[in-house]
Amino acid sequence: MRSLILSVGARAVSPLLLVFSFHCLLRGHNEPGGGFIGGLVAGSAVALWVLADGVERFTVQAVPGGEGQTVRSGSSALRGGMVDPVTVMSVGLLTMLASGFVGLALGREDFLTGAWWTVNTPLGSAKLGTPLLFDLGVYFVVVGVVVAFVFELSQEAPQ
Amino acid sequence: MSVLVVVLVGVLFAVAAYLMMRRSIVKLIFGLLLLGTSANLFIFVAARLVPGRPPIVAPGQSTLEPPFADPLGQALILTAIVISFGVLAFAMVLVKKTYQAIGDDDLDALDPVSREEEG
Amino acid sequence: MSALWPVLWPLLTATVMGLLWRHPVWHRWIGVGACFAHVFIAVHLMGEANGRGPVVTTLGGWKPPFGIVFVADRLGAAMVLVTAVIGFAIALSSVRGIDARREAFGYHPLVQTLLGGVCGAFLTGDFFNLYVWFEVMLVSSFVLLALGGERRQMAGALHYVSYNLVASATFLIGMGTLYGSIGTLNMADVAQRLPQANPAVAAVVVGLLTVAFGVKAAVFPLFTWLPASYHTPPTLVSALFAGLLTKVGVYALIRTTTLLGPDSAPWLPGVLVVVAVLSMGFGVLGAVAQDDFRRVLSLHIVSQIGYMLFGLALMTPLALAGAVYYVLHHILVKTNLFLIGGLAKRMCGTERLAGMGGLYRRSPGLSLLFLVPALSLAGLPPLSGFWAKLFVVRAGIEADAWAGVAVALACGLLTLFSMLKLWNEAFWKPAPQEPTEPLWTARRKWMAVPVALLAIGTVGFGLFAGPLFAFSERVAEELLRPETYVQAVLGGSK
Repeated sequence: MRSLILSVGARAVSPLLLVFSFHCLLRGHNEPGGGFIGGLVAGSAVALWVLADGVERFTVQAVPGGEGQTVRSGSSALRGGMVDPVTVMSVGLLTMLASGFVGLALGREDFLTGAWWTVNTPLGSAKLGTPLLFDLGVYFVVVGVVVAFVFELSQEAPQ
Repeated sequence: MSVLVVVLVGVLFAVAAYLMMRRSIVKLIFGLLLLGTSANLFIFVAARLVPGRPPIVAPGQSTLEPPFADPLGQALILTAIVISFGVLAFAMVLVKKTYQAIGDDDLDALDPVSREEEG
Repeated sequence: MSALWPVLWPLLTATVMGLLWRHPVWHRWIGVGACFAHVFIAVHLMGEANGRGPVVTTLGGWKPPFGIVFVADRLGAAMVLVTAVIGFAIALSSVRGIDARREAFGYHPLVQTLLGGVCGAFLTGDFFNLYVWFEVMLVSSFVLLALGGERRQMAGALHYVSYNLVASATFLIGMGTLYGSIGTLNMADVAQRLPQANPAVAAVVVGLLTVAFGVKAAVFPLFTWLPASYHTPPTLVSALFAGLLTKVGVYALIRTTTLLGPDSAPWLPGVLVVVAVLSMGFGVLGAVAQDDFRRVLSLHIVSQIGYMLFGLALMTPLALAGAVYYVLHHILVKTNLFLIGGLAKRMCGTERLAGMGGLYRRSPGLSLLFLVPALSLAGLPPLSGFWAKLFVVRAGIEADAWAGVAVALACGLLTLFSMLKLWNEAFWKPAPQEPTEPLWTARRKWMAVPVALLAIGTVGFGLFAGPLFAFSERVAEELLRPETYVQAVLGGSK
């Protein structure tokens, strides 16, 4: 069942959701928000897309022996050029782990100790630190998980 | 305020227990989720409720002024929510796969058939 | 940092595998290499924990009791070492033992995540993180259990998921009560403060935690999920679960009982003795009644957990040392038996004992490999199981727990009976139909390598029972003086 209104609406709302998710991610250190919330918002943008246009927009139904069939996910494969949700998850995890080592590399005592830098830009100065890197990792992991599950759940059973 | 939340926790536990006793797999999963949620609310109320006093240092000051809400309890709940989010996603996929495998939402349909299959 | 590496390493490996998601064949060798390195990481940690006392690692510069802390005392380090060895055996076996579909769905990264979760649970120093690592372990085990989507796997997975989620909720409620009453979840801090709290609250907390860990450990009234699920996934997954998952529950019980028990819940050992005796009895009786290779082995887990708890419940140095030795021995033996069960299943084409047979005539070597862990499980000298049972039973006699000792000995006989039944049905009796295909394919030969390694380990465990028991005694000594642990965590880290 396809709805034209939802489909057109999703095209307008999904990019906004993605921008908003980034806003959530950045304000997260001192105010409500953060990687998890941001990731969920971004994931819901993709979920909206899938609901509106169907999962075929992202995946190719595998025909036995046909084009686009991989063993990867049983019933379907991603369309060419798309990043696998698992890759997004792994990049996120790697970022999180890496953020833990930055502090150590700078001579702090513990894993995950925060390190901060002040960045001066023409628009004013901002404080950047490893917690942001960690949050960015969380963001990617959550996006990857949500998208993977949305794809999985919206696939019809192979008849 | 606390009393209300406590009653809510009790009601949620009752609902969860009721749902888990049903034969439907979907209701079982809902029951498990509500159980997790009520446990989270329980931690929330056990860590004391301090309405309207978030643990955020006011601008221009260097320490928090009591009374303020305990942030740790809420951090614990947040972690538990994240975990139950992952478990929920998995449980939904599991329900879907189970439905595909047995073509039914009835827990009783799982066991006799599986035994028949093996024997 | 060193108490953190055994946890980070498998997670890092899983991440790397995730980046190479499209190349599941590479996962196999990355897994073997990473698990091999993991063993060395664990050995290093063991050396430190054994030589210098508990290794304490804090995170993010927050000092205990406020921050996240990882603690490796002798018990934790020993458990991590055995976990790493089992991980290596499973990874080696998985190179040839898992079908391409499961590999493509992420079997190898899931195994690594599971190992990370297990190590995290063994090393964490606070209750909330114990919950988190439990969940890491559980979610990956859920997926491993359901991966493949066969009908009976689904039934098993639903039982397993429901039971374990209820246990997690119980654990959470216990933690809520704990935090609400004394405002800390750091294990060392709790050990210090819980005795001063309201005794009724302390009893509720310890009771809830014991129930939650009891489900994970599959003790008597709470074990029903285990025989319902362990025979359903591929044998390698069963072997991994059988070796490690219930033992995490046992570890948690040992940790809470020794850390909180004496001061906060003096009634706990009494309850544990009853639970232990019932687990021994019901587990072994259930196993005797089964006629499926893996179901027999699954129910024996429950029975063996009973022995460990019996040792724990007596709380004397000898009993506790016996329990620790028992846990370590059991992880090796049980994993090995499941791996052999998997090989036997492949060779006979079925796991029903009625349909198996003729393996001794066709392969005496494999039969010998089966006898080592089987007789060890049953407790025949000089294998490790004999010493494990001997230490626990002797502690029982010294503590005048005659009923428990009687049940333990009777269950030993029934275990022997049950192992001989497996031997008769699967190995000794002639095959129901004349086999057509060759017995030893290249794949099966490969999968016999980890079996042989673990069997050598079991024999070694029996032959070097003396030094190993001396080590277990040092573990017990450390456990019975929780001050050392508390001091190491709270009295200035590093």
